[in-house]
Amino acid sequence: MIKRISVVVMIVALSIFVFSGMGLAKAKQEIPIGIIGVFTGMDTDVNGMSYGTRDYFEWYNDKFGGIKGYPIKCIMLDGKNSIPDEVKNFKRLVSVEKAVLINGWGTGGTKALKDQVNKVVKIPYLSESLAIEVIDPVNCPYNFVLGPSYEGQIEIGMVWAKMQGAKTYAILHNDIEYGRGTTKNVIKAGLADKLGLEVLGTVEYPWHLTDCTAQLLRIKKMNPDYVYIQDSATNCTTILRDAAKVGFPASKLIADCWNFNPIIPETLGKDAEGFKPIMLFPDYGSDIPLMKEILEYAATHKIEKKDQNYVRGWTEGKLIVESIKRVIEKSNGKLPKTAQFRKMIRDEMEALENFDVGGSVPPVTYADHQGTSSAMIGEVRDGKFVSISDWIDIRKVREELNKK
Amino acid sequence: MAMHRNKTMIGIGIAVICYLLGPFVLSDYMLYLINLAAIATIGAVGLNILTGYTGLIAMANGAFIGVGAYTAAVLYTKLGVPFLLTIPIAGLMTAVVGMIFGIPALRLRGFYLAMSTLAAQILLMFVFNNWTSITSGERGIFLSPPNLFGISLVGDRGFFFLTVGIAALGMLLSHNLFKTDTGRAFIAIRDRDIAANIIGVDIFKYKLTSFAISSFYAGVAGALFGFYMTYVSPEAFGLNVSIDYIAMIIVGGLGNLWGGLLGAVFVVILPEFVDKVIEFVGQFIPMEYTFAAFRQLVFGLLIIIFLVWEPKGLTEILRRLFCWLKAKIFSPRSEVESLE
Repeated sequence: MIKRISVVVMIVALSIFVFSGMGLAKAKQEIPIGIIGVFTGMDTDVNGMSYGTRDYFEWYNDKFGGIKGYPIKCIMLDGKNSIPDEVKNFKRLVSVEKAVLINGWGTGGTKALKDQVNKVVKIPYLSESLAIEVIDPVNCPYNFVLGPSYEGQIEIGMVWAKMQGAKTYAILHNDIEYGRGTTKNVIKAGLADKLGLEVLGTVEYPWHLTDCTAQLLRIKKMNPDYVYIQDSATNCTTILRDAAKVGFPASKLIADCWNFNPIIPETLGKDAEGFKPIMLFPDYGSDIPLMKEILEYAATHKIEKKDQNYVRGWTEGKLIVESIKRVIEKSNGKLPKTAQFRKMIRDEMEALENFDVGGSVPPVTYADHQGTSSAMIGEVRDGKFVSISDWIDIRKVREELNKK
Repeated sequence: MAMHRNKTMIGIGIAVICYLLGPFVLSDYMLYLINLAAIATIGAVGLNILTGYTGLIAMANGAFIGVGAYTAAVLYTKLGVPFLLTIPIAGLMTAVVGMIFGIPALRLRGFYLAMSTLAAQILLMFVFNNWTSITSGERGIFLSPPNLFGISLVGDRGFFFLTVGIAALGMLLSHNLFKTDTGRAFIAIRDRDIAANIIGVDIFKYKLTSFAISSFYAGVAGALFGFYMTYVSPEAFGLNVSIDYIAMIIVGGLGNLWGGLLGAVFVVILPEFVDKVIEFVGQFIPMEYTFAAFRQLVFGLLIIIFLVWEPKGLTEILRRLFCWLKAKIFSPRSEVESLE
């Protein structure tokens, strides 16, 4: 009897698997949008971005009944920060779910899917990566990101340091491409020279960092006005801990956007006071128009992650919906066929100019597929992050310096 | 005998029809899973030769697959070697690397052998990450979609014919290997290496040969993986991949030709299966994404269950299932039933 029940259960489960894999047609017209997030493995601490986008779609469906009457069908999958899993999810979203746009995740997956996205499937792919290799409107016309690249963030740090009267700068980075490659690109670009800032040196440490004392003593000996850390929160926590140990003030340390992470002040306490991460987006709860929409949603729904990454995800949702809305308007209220729909969304996204997203970032212009090249500098004060600068647009700074 | 041959021919015929028609019927997503499973089968069959048949545990299959992938990528992008040639060359290069790491390991057994192969995994990962002039480090190497006899292999359909074909060939060669003296020597070493030595089996030579053959398979799998993903980077060849392959051969069945295939299919398909069931159940019972970890829990539990209750793996379960089905469907009626 038990065996028969087990066989029946297995057949039912297999059927679910096979038939969903074959992609049966859906009766109701919806707009399928895919999100490849990270819910297991590394990077789960920043997965608020995926929740933010998903929740925006849900809020928009509830409030407006969908985009011009067509509900958004959001399919959120776990990429596990693993290239084969991201590729697998991409295939499913494209061939089974017929997604018209995908909100992807990391640099590795985005690069691996470059040919599929731009040449084979031709589907707009808005990823969370900020690596410069995925920002190429000519060769990668379907790839989009939102925010300045890692190189741009280092340069924003330099500009802000110069505004504070700094004369010297150093860069502390890990030994993988994310750290080493980015630093090399920045040195090669030579913005520091144009700003009149002397880069005293770049110091490298192993990616799996357990102790940074030796490297920080070298930095301390150089005595730069500011040090930029090109790494994420896990290693930054170790660096800040050891900086306190060697007596190097956290207030001299600037770091990239992934360090705008509550883990840092929560773990380090007073050792993190004065630490300055790049802020690409305001924190959850900031006094901006976009936050009113989030709070409206939060009144009746649970928010998984209340942080700046969630605000980022919400912003990306707005951009996606606006692009799709414009396509439907141009198509006289009808949904184009999938391939045409994808191309039109790409075109409308690229055509977005000075689009107001509600204050989370300056008005977005997507001609360069980056959307915005601006960031603020944040600081840890009394265990919380506060913004201590206005938006610094690195593209404008470069243009002005090149004119001189 | 004739009936058995007929059944075999029918089975082969059905397999060929599925092979030829499958890519035109299945979605890209299903084809992707099948291609991944086929590539994993090649690596798992190779590892089964080393671990299942020769009794040498190895924790570096992920890194050896990486050697194959990088070799193929460098040959194709930097030296302009034709795509088809890169695959066997990648296999040979990985066989050489496997032998280099195998030599010091051959005096070791059990836990110590496992640790020495783990050292190989770590060392090779260090090379992938830091020998940037060849591997481009974390940046990785892009490969343009290859051509096969003038047909571009962009997309899953083209690769289906290649990966499944090579997997089938790999299994056939493995099957034939164990009809040879070399294969029997491997089994003798696994069962009683001292006794094998006494009767004249050159332990060193055959262990090294086993490492070489296993690594060759891993190299071929790596080359196919690199071309299929069109991107080779270190993160795809970590220790987690080596552990996945060990799981494949344990779950599939150690020392059994079909163990590699079944284990590979199981490990590749199971996460999808669990995802689908959770998604389906999630329509009726609200489930947050904290259940994303559920699939890994299921995966781990299943491996433990296999180790404890069915150490011979899926092959043994399927064998018993087929025997039961055969008895139920094809066996003659009992005397009592026939009287009724």
